Amino acid sequence: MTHRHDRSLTVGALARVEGEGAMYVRVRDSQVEEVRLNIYEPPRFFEAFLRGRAHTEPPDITARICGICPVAYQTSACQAVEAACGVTLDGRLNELRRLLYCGEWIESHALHVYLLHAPDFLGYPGAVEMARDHRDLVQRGLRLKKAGNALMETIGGRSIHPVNVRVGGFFRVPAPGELAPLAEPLRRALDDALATVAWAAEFDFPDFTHDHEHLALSADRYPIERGVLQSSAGRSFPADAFERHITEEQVPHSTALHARFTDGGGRYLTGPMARYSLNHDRLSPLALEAAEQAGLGAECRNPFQSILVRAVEIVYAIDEALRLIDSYEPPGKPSVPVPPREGTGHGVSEAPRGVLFHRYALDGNGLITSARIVPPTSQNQNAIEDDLARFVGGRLHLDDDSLARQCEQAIRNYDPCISCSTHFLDLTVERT
Amino acid sequence: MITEDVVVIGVGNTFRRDDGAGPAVVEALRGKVPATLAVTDGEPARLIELWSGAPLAIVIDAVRADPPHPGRVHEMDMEETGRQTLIQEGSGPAASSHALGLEHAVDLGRAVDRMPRRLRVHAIEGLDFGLGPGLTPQVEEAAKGVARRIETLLAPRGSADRSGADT
Repeated sequence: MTHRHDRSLTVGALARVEGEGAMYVRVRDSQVEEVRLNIYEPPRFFEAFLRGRAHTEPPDITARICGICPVAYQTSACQAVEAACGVTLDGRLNELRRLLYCGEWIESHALHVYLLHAPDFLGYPGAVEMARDHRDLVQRGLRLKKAGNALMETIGGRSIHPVNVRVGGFFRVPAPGELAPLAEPLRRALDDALATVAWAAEFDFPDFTHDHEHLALSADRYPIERGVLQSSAGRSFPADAFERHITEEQVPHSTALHARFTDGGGRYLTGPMARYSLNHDRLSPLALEAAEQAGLGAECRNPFQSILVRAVEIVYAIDEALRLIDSYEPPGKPSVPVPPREGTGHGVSEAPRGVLFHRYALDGNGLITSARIVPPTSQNQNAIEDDLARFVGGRLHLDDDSLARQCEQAIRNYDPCISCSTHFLDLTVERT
Repeated sequence: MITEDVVVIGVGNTFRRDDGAGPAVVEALRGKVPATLAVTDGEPARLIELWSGAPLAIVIDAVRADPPHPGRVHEMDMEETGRQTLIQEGSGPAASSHALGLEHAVDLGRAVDRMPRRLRVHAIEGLDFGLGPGLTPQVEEAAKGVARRIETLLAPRGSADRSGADT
């Protein structure tokens, strides 16, 4: 084989770079004066890119924003376009959408729990080092992830950017016989998921809590593919009021916008902790029992315990997927017609990392005249910075390396998807 | 997936300009080689699922280099050269799911014993990793060249060479 590697070349990172993040901390007289999480790369490009496109295109285009949560982008996009056109999906089509979304939750949460987050608790610099000592654990994580992947491939056509999703439903719906073979591996995955909760419950969680207002969807069941927004302070509003209730602001240090409640309520948190705290009573009995046995109460306000909430949500997503497969009846048609009309539509769904909002305005020909996408990580940026300021304040005695490592862990609690994203983390500490 | 087929994997994002080099090679190979073709984003668990048990996995990925020579291709055989030829950064755990790449996939695959019997990497130097579709001309040419090379490499000698075709 011809080996032409030029050793004088400086090869940088292999090109999985979808953004850059950095953190800046300024300390004066042992007081944390400023913490900035710098995020350089937004999905805003997509908003411009969508203008002039047909109303049928957002699910495919926005799925490319993120390789980890394409179904979230597709679902919020479809719902926004459908709302603009006055269409509501029938029950069976929506159930299939929810089933596909369960696959994404399982895959995304298993990735974060096992490959990104658990090494922090077990004292390893990363998943590879952890895998060398705990091969069985990592294999369990890979099996879980695969179970989610299989759902996405079967319903979505493929797992990375599913191609079977369209505005109004799907291009093709599976026959019952196609879903049935998924059940057995999912039942095995359920055992793995329950073991994951029990395992994570034994981790040593730092004593650290936040008091951010929680924001999540609410529905007649644990919210995944749709719902109305509600908060821990009692706010409740539908998707089309999102922009009245939430204001996004440009801050100089980041290309991602910072979100806050418009009425002065300030920062809020979306994602697994908020979802669980506002909806834990809608978990399935099995998931609820797992949460209780793991010691999770009615709400979770310790961001380090988010790994536990994700583990419980894996149990729920598998349990729910099994229920949906068991009761599956193919929709009469793979999709409902969505004839374009002039108007504006809004869509929200619960991405693995939290509320994902889309809004599209269409002209009479169905061409998009404006688009807005608000991903969960940018909504959470305010809350993450606040956590970090308090977290750093209690650890200023550490040297810069140790402090950087612990800050990375604190940021990982939020499973940030920074270009919705990133090589992490350049830490600058300025001590005066 | 446990596969006995040769698998060719294009790693990259077609909406990130030259990061789409790997997927472009795979598209050029459709219907032309006796191998399972796949496109993925480089997330390690997905790579491991794709290549587990394969007699030969060929991965095509884009790389950034400094100084850049867009379109220059580096070929590496993991058995021959070891991973150090691929990896320069040792950046520790990533906060984002996107920051894990091929080098982590190789390390992780080895740690859980789920590597292909042989792994060959074609790394194409890119220039523009900005947002949007389309490759820069030199990278597009290079992708065509890599596709031709893989086609030759996998040219059936009667049928797919399951022992791991090589030049």
